[in-house]
Amino acid sequence: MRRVLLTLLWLVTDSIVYLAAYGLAYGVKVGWILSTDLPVDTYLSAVAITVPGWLFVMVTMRNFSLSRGQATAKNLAYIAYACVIGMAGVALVFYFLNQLLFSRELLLLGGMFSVGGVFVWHATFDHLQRWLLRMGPPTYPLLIIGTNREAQRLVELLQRERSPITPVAILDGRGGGPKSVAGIPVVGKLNALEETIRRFHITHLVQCDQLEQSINLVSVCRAHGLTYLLLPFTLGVVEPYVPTETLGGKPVIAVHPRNAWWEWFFR
Amino acid sequence: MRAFILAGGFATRLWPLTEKRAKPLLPLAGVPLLTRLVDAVPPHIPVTVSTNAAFADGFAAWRATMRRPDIDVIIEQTVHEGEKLGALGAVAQWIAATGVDEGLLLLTGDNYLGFRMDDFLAAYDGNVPLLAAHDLGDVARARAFGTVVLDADGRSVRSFEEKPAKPKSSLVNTGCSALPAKTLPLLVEHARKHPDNVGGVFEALLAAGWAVHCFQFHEPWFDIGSFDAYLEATRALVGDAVVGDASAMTGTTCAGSVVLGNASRVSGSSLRNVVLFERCSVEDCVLEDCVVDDDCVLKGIDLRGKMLRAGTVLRD
Repeated sequence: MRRVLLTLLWLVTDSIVYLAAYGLAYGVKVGWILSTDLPVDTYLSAVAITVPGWLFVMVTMRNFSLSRGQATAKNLAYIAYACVIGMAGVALVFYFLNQLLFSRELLLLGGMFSVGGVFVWHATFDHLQRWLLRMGPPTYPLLIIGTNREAQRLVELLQRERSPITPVAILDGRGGGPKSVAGIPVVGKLNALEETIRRFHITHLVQCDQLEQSINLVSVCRAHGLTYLLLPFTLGVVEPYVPTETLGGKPVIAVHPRNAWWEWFFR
Repeated sequence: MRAFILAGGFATRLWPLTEKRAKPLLPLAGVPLLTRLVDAVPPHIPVTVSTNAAFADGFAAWRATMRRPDIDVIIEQTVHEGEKLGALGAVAQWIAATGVDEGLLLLTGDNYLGFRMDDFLAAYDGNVPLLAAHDLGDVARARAFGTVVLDADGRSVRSFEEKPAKPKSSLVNTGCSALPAKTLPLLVEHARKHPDNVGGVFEALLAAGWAVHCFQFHEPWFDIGSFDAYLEATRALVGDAVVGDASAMTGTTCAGSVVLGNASRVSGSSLRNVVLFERCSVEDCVLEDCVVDDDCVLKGIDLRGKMLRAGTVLRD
């Protein structure tokens, strides 16, 4: 419920920031004394109509996803792309309503302010959301399978990033390992899996070891409605970027050779 | 004489087959390991099975299937591996609680013993502890077991080492022993310091000056401690055959050992060294060296070397 309420709040505040960005552009370009050539209500009505469409693009680009790093260049690119579509939407809606266009500079300013404003707001809201989702019993308790160094690095990264998907317990399939990893307790072996899921109210499971058990771990996750995650390192994939592509319509994990940077375009 | 079967381990290496099922209740070629052991014990010897609370329901259900009246299942009140008494601890607790003063036939519940129990008991004279041993033929493999070195007479145990780093012998303890009543106080004492070291009892007996005899056998023996061991045992017992209702398979080719559990059905598939537990449905699959737990549904899937958890559904 926490996440649902926060997401709804996020959508509403994003809409306000988006509208405010275009409002600010109007003030900067047209002036703060309201114009009769381009009435502010006519202008903002067109912007308001595009808000649902713009939000739809933002949602489909997973800009509200828990696993998306908000204060990153990649996320800025996604937001910029959505706002460019928003700009096109504003221009088109204004034209359809009024049979004329308005200042290109105003449109550009609106676009730029919406990109900057939404990006800053996303980074801010994400910071607040992470704090709220980790507060008290975490909303998304994460169970880690494996105690190898990759598992440790993952735990440390999630702790550093204050990820809302919060490591709470570890299972060591092989036994004989440490009693805790980065402060997270190792609560047993795989035979303690079901009990651990119940005890810690696990919502996410990440497999960092014992690839041979992946089918069974996925099966357990399906049975309990958990999200199953696999660290690519477990497959021997150490590349930082591991996209899921399609081959003949079937999803595949792709690990491309390290060629010149411009060659990605020709894949 | 009383028989005591240790069945309280958590068998983590056989997860997920042992997720909700104790290892001694794993079916081997269609019959639970424990049933095979209990059936081998002569009818005049009462049987006590020791397990833990985590598997109590499973053992109650198993007990209901056994016609033999003299089986007593005792439940150790532990549900986590960290809490358990230890195998020897459980025996000692039972001896102390019941005041047993008879000889003890001590068996570990996860072993398949290919020899006839009557032959073993015939070799026991009632006064000298007797353990059953099997020659693995490979000293390196013996590291995981209690190793036995015999005297020149080929019967008396000269030395016993539990899981040695450098085994002196490939002859190993197989989890079947007969202990005279006089040795039980030493067992109880040894259990206080080493509650999980069953084989260590023989080290303690030898150190205390007791003679220990060895019943060496050449029939098959399997310590079902891992997936590979389970498959190996199945192959050894079943051979190149199908165990189960062959009419439940249609349009299917089989090779190696195939075991079909009750109400499992297979169609249009290829199976090689596969064990299907109960109520499985397999269609258009190629399975090799797999063990599939109850209620699995597989369609259009190829798998090799996998243990599948109960209730797994995989459809292409």
